[in-house]
Amino acid sequence: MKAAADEAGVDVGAITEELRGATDLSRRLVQRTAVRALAALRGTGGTARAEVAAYVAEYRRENDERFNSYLTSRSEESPLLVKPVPARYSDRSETVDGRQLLVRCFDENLKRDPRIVIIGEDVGKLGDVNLVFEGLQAKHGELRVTDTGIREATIVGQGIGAALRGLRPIVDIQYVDYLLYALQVASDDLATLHFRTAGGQKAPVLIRTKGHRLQGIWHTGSPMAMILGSLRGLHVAVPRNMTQAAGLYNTLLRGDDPALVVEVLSGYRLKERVPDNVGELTVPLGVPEVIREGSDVTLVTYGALCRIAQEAAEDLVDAGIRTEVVDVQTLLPFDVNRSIVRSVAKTGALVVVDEDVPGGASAYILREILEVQGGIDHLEVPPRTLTAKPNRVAVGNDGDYFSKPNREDIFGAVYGLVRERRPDEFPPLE
Amino acid sequence: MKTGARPDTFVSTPSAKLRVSADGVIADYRLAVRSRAASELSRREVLVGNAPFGISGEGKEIAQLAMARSFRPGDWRSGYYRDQTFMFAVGLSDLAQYFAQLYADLLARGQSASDLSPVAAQMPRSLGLAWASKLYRESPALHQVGSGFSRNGEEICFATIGNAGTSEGLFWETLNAAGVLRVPLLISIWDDGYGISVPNELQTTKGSISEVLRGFQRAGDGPGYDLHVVKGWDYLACCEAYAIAAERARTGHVPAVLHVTEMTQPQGHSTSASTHTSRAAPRSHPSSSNRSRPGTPIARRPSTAGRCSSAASTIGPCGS
Repeated sequence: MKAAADEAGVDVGAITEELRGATDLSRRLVQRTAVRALAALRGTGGTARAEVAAYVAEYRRENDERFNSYLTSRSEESPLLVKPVPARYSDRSETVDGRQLLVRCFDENLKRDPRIVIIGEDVGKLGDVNLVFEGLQAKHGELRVTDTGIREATIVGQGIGAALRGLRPIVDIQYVDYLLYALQVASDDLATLHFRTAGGQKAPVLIRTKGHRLQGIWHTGSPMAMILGSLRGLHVAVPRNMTQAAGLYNTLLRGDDPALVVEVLSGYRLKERVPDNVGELTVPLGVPEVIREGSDVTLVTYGALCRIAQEAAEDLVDAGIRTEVVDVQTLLPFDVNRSIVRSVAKTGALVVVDEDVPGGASAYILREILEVQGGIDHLEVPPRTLTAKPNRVAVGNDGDYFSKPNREDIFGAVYGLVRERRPDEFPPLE
Repeated sequence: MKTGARPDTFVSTPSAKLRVSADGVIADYRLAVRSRAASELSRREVLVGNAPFGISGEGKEIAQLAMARSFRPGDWRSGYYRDQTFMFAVGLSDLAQYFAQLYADLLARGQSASDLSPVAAQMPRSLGLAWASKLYRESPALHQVGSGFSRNGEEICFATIGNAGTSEGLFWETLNAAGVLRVPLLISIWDDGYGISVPNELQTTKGSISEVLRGFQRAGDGPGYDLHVVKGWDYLACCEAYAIAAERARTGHVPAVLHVTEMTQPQGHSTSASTHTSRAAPRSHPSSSNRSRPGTPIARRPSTAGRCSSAASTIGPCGS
């Protein structure tokens, strides 16, 4: 440091004195003085300054490893390492209600791994309020598919304890809004366990819940920013349909991290084809899927809005606009291969469509694409977010329509982005 | 010191007698004194600026030594920041680890230990730790995988919580669920008469947690809890209560609550809370012969720091 300063003719005496005079040498002090010296030496050349810079970088890396590591698994069983297995279909593949597809997925997993147990409200005798576990208790027994009382915090706690003892619990939180009851346990214990023990203890609890579009204040909503803010340490999957959900469950049940899966509440009765390998197909974490190709605007969304966005994209074709629709599939981790920026580079326009509050998950997604992936450099028009209202969703079909992004809203948002660039071709809508 | 001539003491459980040798008693006493000294030293280290924050288990020593006598390999503890004496006693922690955590920003990882400091947050997972014993014992599917994880479901989860922590919803939710599921959960309530800055009367209906838990108590072999009330300074009574509760939990998966009363907290909540506790007060030593209810309140401020940091140790399977 001193050599670098002498070489550059910069006075770093006060900084070196602080280091020399310290009675209690801490990592913080070492890094702080090195970083401040580097700032003082800014703009100077020479090899000594480069050495200080290299030291700072290495020391930061070393201490990041010491203090900021092990948020999620680094073992060979990490779900991030599970090999993707595509869905396979044949002439025998049936088309069923989405919820029945999931019944078969969970049935296969219960058969495959005796450590898997399912606990939660109404999961056993009733087979889940949407019949996603229909018949599974009768088939696998009350100890493997177990009804609980109405007690979300200890449903999650029961999962944590069981997982610590070697089991693979799937804990069911009946609706995503009930996660609020369990959030303290999920955040303070489950999400931090791997981090705070530096990988010494792990609890691969799989929390299953459902949300997004429905009607009324409480059985609807997508409080994804609440989840993203409090549950770092979990993987958070937001599958658009039950086939993707099955693939994500199969991935997560083969990994050793805790996770949360938010199913689409409005999708249980939509028809889907059951893959022949419904218990084996795996959807990789952090890999978005382009579910519709286009060249004018990149529309990024997830969950229930994927279907509505695709409908809007169809409408937009009539207006001469080709929309690329991207399903992020998992919010944590987010697009590990940085693929969305490639779409943005192609279209030059970005809209994030989200059922969360303004500045909720859409802000998180925007930061990932614009800042982390550098998408800002490719935009020809400012990015947009289209979100739900800050209030809870109002009651009824009309409440849903006016409180959450709908097909026409999406049409308008995408149209607006194109019109901004080519106003002559695209006259105002309203 | 030769102790061979001293008679052993026995405490009885329904099916056996637990031998407490004179040597064992002396070893426990020595550990209690060491643990107390560690608590006092940790506070001093923070006061003189050698450590940033500490929270310790002074005044809670004796019952923890008794609990340790009933803790066996395979059992689990789900606890909080007052349990250092127990952790020393069962060999899951030692003085070096204790002080390594105290001086956290140099010697240990910059990460809190796996104990949970948010009040009562250790309770929900304790349900699952105990429930797993039931599954390993009763679920046919698990008999093929259980050998490395369980000895026929004999493992107990020892959960610990302070008297004031029992006001949290998580305590009641866990208590009810474990009673419904009938799992080997043994809940120790360390009661020093105060929580945050106020006495039990302002925290618990009737001022006594065991008094209001009577409805959870089982009749005969029916569902519910075994309920024990023991004084925290009464070593043999604690040993006996733990031995009885542990045996019933192990063999019959009967959950139990041990309300351990008349504990003390001579140094206050944590190093970041003020303490006006008099060192001359009768509550200040684990071996104090003064067993009367002290009249001196432990004046303390509610401390937010105490809800987010811990000098306690890791939980884990007891491998020895």
